[in-house]
Amino acid sequence: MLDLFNAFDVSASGMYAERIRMNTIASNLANYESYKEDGTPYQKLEPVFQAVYNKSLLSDGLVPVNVNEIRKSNDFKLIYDPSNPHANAQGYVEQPNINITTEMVDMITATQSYQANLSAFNMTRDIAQFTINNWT
Amino acid sequence: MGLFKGIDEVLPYLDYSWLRQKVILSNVANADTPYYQQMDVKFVPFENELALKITNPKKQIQPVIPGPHFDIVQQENGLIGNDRNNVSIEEQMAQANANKIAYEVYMKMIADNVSELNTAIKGQ
Repeated sequence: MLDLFNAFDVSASGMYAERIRMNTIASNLANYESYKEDGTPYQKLEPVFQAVYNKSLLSDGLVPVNVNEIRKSNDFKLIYDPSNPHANAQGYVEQPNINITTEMVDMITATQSYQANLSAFNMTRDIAQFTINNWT
Repeated sequence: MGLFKGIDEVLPYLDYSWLRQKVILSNVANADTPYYQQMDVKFVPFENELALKITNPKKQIQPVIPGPHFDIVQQENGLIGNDRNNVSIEEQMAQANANKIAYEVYMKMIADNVSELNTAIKGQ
């Protein structure tokens, strides 16, 4: 029975990771022109996924995914805008390095990966249900 | 007793398809993980090559023939993206569907075997 729950946990870990990715994309899109309280530009967020190779789980064929960290990007784009209050002495302004198109494409792949995990989860549930129904 | 022989024949295949289901779940969960290599399960039916040639039936030594077993293998082929990950979600979903049907067939075979035994025991 625990084996079955472990299988569900792997799909859940995949869905959780994709949801974190979705959250960071939402934050990046919402803040693509924002500045922090101290006047520095918003730092783009990027989740870092890592496969967890746990020996006992791996022998069962299970490799969950873990969100290792949410990395803050230190890349900013420079735009010439002397009238901007954040402009430096040369008239350049640092802005968050967020490409809306890239974020939208990432959002589509995150949605599809989430759906794939959900379908796989449902398939495992169907198998378990089928097994139970056959013995009652 | 050969009563459960039919079930014993199918059981490795059922275990195989369940293990495969779990491997597919892992592959789908790690579809966006950098450097992840997709896995699959290799079914090794019987190691018949271990069987000895018999010259005199009276001196027959029963060789230990291991039953079917399976190995989890990493697949290095496939389209590798910028993140060095070779998981194809479409392929995995297709395999999951095929695997689900296979599992249900094996499970049905076992359930039918048990119901046949029940019929034999009850005599009706």
